[in-house]
Amino acid sequence: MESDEELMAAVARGDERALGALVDRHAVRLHAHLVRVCGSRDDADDLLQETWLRVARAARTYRAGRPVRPWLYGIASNLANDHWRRRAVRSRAAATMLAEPAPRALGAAEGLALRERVSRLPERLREVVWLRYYAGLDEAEMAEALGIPRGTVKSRLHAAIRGLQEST
Amino acid sequence: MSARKDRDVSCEAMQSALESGELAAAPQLREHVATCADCAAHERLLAVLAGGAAEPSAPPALALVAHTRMRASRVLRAHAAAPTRGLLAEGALALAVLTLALPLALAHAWLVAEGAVALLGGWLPPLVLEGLGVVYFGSLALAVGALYALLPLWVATLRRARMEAA
Repeated sequence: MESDEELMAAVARGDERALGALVDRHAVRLHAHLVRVCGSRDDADDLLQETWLRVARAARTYRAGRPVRPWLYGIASNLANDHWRRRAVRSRAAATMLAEPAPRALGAAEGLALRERVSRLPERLREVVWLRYYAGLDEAEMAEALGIPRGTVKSRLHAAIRGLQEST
Repeated sequence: MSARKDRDVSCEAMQSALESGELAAAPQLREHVATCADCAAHERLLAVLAGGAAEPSAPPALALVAHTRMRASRVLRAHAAAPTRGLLAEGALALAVLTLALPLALAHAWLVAEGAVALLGGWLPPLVLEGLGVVYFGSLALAVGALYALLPLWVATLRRARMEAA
């Protein structure tokens, strides 16, 4: 089986089959991640499509050998941040989120309340929580996804967890 | 005071270890967490975060995945075709600017030099005039060289802006 990086290199050369294979391979996990981040399946559906459109647009700029998964989740996180910004403008983010039907991904009340607190974190802290705990990326992958050193990932994650504890 | 500070430092290290997940099962860490309310709360928070992420989520509809695949392929096709044309056009434009600019710059330099000789020839000794000429042509060559070196950058910036806008 071809690796993600091999497939992406083929996509960069314009191979649509390789792009289809990547979409099929990552769609389920990426969608689950976006459902957790957005708290809404409809929004996750939109962002899933938008993520892959961005991948297709940026394919020619893909640097051979660059790990695909962090890159992909980095794009998805940027889109999710834009989504939250728009949402915050429209209404109070937390109120909107609580008014929505309980998402399947975080059924427990505690999980839901925690996700609400995550959504209130500053953007740069929020995205490290998303990538670490919702997408399951390790520190090296997060550093790659966000384009920051590992030490910064560590300190942001620590600050985010502190922020979550203090907002209890 | 010192004991409190030591404990804070220790908690900080323990919580970092919990976050990295590297030492979650270490006996020393377990012992500390068992006796420290702060770290226990920290661990609980991490567990809730991780637990939420581990919960299964209904997969996306097959039609959505198929639609995504189709749209992404269409975008890939469009972007694969466009850049070559764009690059050729931008390359030709840069070449045209280069071709036009060089004779203009040389003609301008020649006029300035001739004018300077005509105006200052009677007033300044030839050695000073030559010195001024060297300074003038040297700075002109540097400026033109810098402008030419900026052209590829300019083309690249244009292309990048267009791709990002797309």
